[in-house]
Amino acid sequence: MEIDRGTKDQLLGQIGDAIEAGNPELSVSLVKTALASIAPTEILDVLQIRIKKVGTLFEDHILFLPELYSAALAMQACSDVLQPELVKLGTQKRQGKVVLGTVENDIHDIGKNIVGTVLKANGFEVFDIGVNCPADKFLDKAVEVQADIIAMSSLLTTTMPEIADIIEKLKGMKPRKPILTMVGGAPITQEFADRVGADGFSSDAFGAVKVASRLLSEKHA
Amino acid sequence: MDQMTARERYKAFIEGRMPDRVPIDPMLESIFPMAQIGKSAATYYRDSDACAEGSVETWRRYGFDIIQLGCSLPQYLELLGGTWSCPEDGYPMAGDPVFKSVEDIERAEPKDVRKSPAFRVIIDAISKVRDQVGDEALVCCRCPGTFNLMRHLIGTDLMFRSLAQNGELIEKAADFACDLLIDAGKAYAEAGAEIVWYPDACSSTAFISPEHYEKYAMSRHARFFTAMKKEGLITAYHPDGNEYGILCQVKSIPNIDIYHMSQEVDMGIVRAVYGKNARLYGNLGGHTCLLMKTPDEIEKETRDIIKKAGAYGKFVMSPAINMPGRTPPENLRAMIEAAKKYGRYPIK
Repeated sequence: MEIDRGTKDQLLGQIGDAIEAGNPELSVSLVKTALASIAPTEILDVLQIRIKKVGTLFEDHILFLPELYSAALAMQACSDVLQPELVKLGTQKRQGKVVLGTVENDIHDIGKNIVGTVLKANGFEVFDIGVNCPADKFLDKAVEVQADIIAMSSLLTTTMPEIADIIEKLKGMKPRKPILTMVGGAPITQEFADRVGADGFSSDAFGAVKVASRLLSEKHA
Repeated sequence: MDQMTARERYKAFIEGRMPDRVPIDPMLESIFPMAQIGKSAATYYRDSDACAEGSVETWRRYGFDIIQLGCSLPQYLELLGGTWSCPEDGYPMAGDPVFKSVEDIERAEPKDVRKSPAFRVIIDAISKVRDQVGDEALVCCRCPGTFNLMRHLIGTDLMFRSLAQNGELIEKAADFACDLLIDAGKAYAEAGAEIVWYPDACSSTAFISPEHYEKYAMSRHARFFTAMKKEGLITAYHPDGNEYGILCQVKSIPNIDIYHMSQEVDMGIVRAVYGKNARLYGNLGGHTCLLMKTPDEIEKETRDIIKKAGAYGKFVMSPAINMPGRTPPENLRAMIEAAKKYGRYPIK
């Protein structure tokens, strides 16, 4: 179905606004309507521009975690609707596979959930293994799904050593393709990440997307 | 040489008189005091004798001024039929959230905290600590903040989505959490606590906007502190993250005696904004300084903080949040000794 430029721009604008407002129901409904007349790649472009804008507003302390999280959930819901259409067109782009979890004896999930949601919203395939995860759970899942990255979260100073343990165990394994590691959480610093041999560190969710993207491009270079 | 007991020093701080030196509160949780008596961290939450013994022994051994005790967030779930557990050498962990909807909250009938086994341990421990220290020191109880507790009651996902879209659930859950905390504070006061420390990271601007803070958090914080003042408790508020975004709002909440700042803020700026009569706690980095740095570095940072905020006698030297449990003992000593060395009044 053909629509005129003005109607198309209006519909894409409404989708973007629904993403920014963090409204998954409305944004999905609008995307479904739009798919009747607009190419999925064009819709995806709008989603990506708007989620990037949300990230910038978050970094500038204009939006906060609930808004960021809800926008990422809306983006993810729309991506799920677009996915089959993009596959049909052969333009589906997956950034990479990430196994994500909070380490053993730590049940903090805020950072992990936000990172997972924002990674998904940015095209990563995320396997969230939950909280209180022993090393083997990370490693088994990473091997099972042939992950590119293991992302570990720790919010307690008492559980930070678990990260070192997972990285050590990973070094002792010989996966079919190399698996990179990322770390984050309130007490985690770049210094700590370097000390335990993690490949990447970020203090926030959008930083995690940048780090994951960089790691993958370096890996594939 | 100290000229006051810990209790006299803290009372002077509260009453606006000049203490002999800056009081010190290391804000200890379970792991460090239990290690001092050779017990696992989990023992703190199941054995009131050990909890009291570890707390008092650590206080005597290190020579600080406040003894702090309290249940942690996961134990509140037990009051509502939820679960929690504690690794032998770690911090307590919460089970699943207990509420999924407004209706769940309206149906819930919390038990009296005094009848909860987990709370009974801490309530009894407070009582035992009071018996052991007598008039030498004050006991502070921990009541984790309203939004912190709400996050455990309804879960992170639902809390964030509701803040963005469904105010009713937030209103109900926040009221419920606040009521529960008031009940805990009263029980601790009955047992002999004289100070209540109330940290609330989840309502800080590290999590939510200043608009949401004003809309949902401030009235609950005010209600909590007003209820605690009625119990005769000294009230301490720890906004716990990005305080710059809400400095003025925090100052306008009634019935707060003490403001405890996190490490993101400069204590000199807080002193300038809040004035020389404000009672301040702060703000040595927990994991970034006490846990990771050397005693020499800790001494220097402690001295700098005292210089910025301690000159008027209305200041307690403390970490920016509870001291990490695995902090090397020599690092805790470095903070305490530096506070005694550089915090002696008059401060030059």
